[in-house]
Amino acid sequence: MNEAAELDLQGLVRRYGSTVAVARMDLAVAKGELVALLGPSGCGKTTTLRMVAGFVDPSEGRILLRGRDITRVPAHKRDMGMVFQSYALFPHLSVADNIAFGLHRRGVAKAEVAQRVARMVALLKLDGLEARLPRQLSGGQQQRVAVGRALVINPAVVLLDEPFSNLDALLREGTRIELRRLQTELGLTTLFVTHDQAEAMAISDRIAVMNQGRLEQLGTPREVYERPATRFVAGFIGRANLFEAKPGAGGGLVSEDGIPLDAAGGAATYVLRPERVTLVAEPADGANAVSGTVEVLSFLGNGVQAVLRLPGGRALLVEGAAALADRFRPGAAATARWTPADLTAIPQV
Amino acid sequence: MNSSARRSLVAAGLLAPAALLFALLFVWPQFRLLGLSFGNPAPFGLASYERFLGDSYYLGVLANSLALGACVTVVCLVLGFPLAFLLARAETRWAGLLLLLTTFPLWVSAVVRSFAWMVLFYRGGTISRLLQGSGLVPPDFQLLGTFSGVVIALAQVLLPIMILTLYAVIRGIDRDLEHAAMSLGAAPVVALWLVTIRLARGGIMAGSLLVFSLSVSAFATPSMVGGARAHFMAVTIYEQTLELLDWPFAAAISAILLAISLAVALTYGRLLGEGREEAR
Amino acid sequence: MISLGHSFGWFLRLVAVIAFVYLLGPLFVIVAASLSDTGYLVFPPQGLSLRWYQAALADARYLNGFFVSVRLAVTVAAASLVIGTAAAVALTRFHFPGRAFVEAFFLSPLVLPGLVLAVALTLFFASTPLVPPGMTRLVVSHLIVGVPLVLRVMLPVLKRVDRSVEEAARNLGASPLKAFFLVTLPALKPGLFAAAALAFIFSFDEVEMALFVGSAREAPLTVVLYGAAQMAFDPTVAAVSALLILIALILMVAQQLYAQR
Repeated sequence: MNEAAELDLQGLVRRYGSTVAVARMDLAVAKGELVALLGPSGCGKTTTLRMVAGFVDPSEGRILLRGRDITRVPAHKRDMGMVFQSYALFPHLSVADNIAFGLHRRGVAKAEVAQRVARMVALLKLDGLEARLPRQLSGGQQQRVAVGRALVINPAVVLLDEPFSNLDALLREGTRIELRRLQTELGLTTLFVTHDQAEAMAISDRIAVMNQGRLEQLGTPREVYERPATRFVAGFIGRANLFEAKPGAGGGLVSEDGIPLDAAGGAATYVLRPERVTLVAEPADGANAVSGTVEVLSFLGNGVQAVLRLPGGRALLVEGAAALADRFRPGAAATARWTPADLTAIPQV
Repeated sequence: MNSSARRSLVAAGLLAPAALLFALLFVWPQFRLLGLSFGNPAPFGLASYERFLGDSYYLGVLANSLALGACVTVVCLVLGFPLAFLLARAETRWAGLLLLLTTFPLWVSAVVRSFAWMVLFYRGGTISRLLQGSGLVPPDFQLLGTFSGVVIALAQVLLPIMILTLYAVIRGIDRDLEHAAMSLGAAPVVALWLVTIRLARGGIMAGSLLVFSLSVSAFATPSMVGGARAHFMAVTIYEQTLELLDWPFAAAISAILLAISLAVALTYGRLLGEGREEAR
Repeated sequence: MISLGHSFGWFLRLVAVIAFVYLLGPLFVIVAASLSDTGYLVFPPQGLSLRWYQAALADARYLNGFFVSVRLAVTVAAASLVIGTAAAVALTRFHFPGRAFVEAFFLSPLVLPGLVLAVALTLFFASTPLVPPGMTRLVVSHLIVGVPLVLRVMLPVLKRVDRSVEEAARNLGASPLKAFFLVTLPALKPGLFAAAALAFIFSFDEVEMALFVGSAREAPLTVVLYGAAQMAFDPTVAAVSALLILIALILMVAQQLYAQR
């Protein structure tokens, strides 16, 4: 993997005084791949991105670009196109001049600058706005200028720092599909920082889930969702019911709150995704079934989310088709069931 | 009484003390000063102004003060920008303390600070002896009483004001703009020049005008460090009043100084307004 | 700060260090020189002694000047605070035509040469029996700058105070006056303290107006120092200067501690 890696982070550490912002980060990004750095605020994802960009000096470790060590190369010689969260558009320069900025720094000839800027303007549908100043643009337009400014220099790696967080919900979805299309078409190696798991799932080839400076799991969106490596990943990616399964009196597994479980493995922490749970009215016995009271029913548009309050106190999350709302009312008794295949063991806790 | 009338009355009551104070002790004295400057010969004459503008000595004083303003401004800008920039961009917890220490001289009277420079500048003072030792100046040389001495001392007195102005302006510029420029291939110097300094231009001009205006009209430092040969505007006004008792002439020089300060202040206000416009 | 690049970053840092030494060096030199045992001013000091401090404290001119300065600065700070804050409230809480102009007018003494203000005031005092000589003249003169200083601090503070908090108090039954005293005033306290400190330190440090409008009998410390510094290089002047630097340091630290509370 390391041989083929376009961008390779090896044992990257960043300390601020006694606090560790990033602890031993290893990550290899292949050519044309989009990897998301996903985690809650303060997890070290932005610090990692800024170390790659050259704005933060790593305390330890190396950054390799196509096999070349660039750890000590200053930011302006790294050939990374970065899209900032605030966009960081130069307020005194027009749209065209903002996009041309990097080309001028590279000494590209005037005619070619005009040509490449025009191509980028057309690609990002910014036609007619070339002479405007950033403050005269809408949020979506500003975002596209920021993207164009980073892409026009044909960077070795594209760095995106929460590029959609300043857009409204509707615009965000369209923009991220558009960006993914552009990234695939141009074959751009991309590192993408976000705290929004849905966003990361939607457009990434692989997701690096970070927590408290640590890389918790690296895998495809399906892998991190279906086979979370840690409790944190299970809770952060999608909704999850977690069971601490131990051997019970009858030889089978029992959760920490006494629910009999039937799973493929032994004692472990198990994840049960809400959409894998079936809700029925009639009571049931045995393992992988539990009765309680429907506490909340929320209509989500494409389905219904329910909270089943169990006698032991646990709030079991259930997701199902909209018809669920016709069959149950808040306060009604119900039984939740699932199969052994629905329980996924977390390898480490 | 209705509520809007009552509100007006409250507003008027709150403003009254300040308004009365300013009418009596600010507006009226300034008018009297102007009246006196135009009152030679009585009742209306321009003799005081003709004397100032017709005498190469006084024109020299004006030129000297303007040159002092220019030199002090340049020194403050050259020394102030790097310090203000580093303080504004520093990420350590020492930055606050350093900013505080930078502004500390503002808490100390200009008389004390000027006296410190007198001690350094007289014939046996540390700086004069260092210069004598270097062989660049004659053995009995002293910076006290020289134009350069006044520039050095006054620039130190006004440097915190320049730094505070620049600090506020640079803090207002998103540092990701510099990062963006660098990630696009601009060397740090180029990024600073093309982005930071370009965006701080209004603030840099405003700070420079403020320091210029204060230098041109400065009194304590030029009179103490410049000594008997300090031919500057404010010092000349002082001589004409308390020493020569020529009040009409002093009033005319004051009016000229006032005009310069007002012109600078108006430009300053406009520049600061523009700067805010651009930063948005 | 890797992002600055190495040579350029170091160049900036070098200039900044020079600027820092330039700013604080002279203050350090005067304090050090005041401790010298010699009968003339010298840096670095030769022999350590406090004899010049004894001499300074034994000199009635300095002691008298210090008490005049303190009385003056306290009066100016208090009066500026009351007059300036009242005006600031009027300018931020009420709408009336020409408000922006009134604001600019009240701030204008800050950009005018102190000496010109002093000359104008001297002429005015000579023409009217309204203001008795001595302390009264000093105080009212300093108010011309003290009030704008308070305004400059309080206007943004008042503009920033969340009006909805005041409205909530009104909504809960407080009269406008009560709401101001119960809710707004506590929020203004740090600003008021900073404004008073600023007016105090201005008045305490000011020399130009004091030189013109003060009487010889009631001369503030800066005026005494200004006169003494021109006479001779007396180490006593350095000792008094060092004491003033110490007072400034204490005031600044006190202000910081209060602001950070």
